[in-house]
Amino acid sequence: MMTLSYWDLLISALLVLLLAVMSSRAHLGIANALLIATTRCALQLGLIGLILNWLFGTESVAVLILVVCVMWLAAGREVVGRQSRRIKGIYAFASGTVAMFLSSFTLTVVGLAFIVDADPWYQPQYAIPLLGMMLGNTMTGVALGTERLTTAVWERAAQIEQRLMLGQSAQQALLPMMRESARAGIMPIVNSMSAAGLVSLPGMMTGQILAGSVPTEAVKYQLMIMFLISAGTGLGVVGSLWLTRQRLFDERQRLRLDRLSSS
Amino acid sequence: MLRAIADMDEYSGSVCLDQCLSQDWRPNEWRAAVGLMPAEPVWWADTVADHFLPNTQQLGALHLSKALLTRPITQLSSGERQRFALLRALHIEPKFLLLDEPTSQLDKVSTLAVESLLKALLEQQRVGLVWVSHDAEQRGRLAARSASLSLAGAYP
Repeated sequence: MMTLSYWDLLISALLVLLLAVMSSRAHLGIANALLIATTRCALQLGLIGLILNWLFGTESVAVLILVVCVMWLAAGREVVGRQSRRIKGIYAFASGTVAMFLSSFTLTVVGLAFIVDADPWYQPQYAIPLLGMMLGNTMTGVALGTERLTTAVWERAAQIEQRLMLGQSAQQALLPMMRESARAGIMPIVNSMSAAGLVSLPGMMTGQILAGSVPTEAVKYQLMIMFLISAGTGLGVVGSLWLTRQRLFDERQRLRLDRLSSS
Repeated sequence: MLRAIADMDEYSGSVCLDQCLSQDWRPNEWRAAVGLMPAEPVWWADTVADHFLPNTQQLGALHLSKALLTRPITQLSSGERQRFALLRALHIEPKFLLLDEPTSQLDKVSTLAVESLLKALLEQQRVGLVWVSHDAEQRGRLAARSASLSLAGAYP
């Protein structure tokens, strides 16, 4: 496998520096943002590289569980942070994290145990990157889907109540909003699957090819990841929408807008 | 108060139909049996026909033509929309009908048409009616029993 030297990295970093110098000469005002982002990116990735190196070296399951929990809770925090109108209290965080746990974790375990055939199945070298990709994508889907559902319910509360008055069940009255929210949630992964290979080469596959893999082998891995991601995102979106719906209506199927926070 | 009877809002007290408390019904079946027509009905699809198909007899009784069914709802007059909303509420065949000023947008002729349609329903199919009206004359024409609400409470 071809490895990069620090000189190689320096050359590519100098290109960004050159861009910054040029743009500051032209008074475009982007030089600062560019330099800060470059430094952050280098520090963050360097740090995670060190952590992963160390993690892959230890055999400690406790450390692995700790890292996994941090990733999971950070994803849950991110989902809540992206909602403009969310269910009040702990429930918004809980529904996101539970949905992501059920989808991302289950499918990662399936992927590790039955597809990747790592030994033991939780070997960090495979578990962490796979879970990271699953969580990252599911998180985006869950955030988009729930956000769409809560705003649609807020905006079209009168329509939902009118449907209830005409004898529809809460489930029937909410169906149009559920459908569009589910669609919104899976849109990113549907788009990237449709564009893959035609418009863009997915990042993971590109990395593998650059590192010396045979393209068809890299493609197989990429496909497996894509399928796992889309199944995981779909499950996560459906789960979080279902959990959110439980909270939007009470036991007498009354719409409970009072349970939504103001934006 | 009508919303509470239809179990749309939380309330204290109890409501009963056919010797069964509202809590003993499934929520959607209760609301279908106790039809509530709100003061401002909502339409979500483009045309009336997308919501329901009214029966021709009732359509004629309210002076509405069939051509209106496929016209965009935004192009209907407020009076036409109100009469269609009443037919939509009747369409699910409630045993009991809660009406919140159902003739507020109507002229005298249409108001009388609505009143006679509902009276016929009351007499022939024994549909119960609660009718909220600010029109003293209308109350005189219709009411079997009239209750006036004030801030202090209800007076039969």
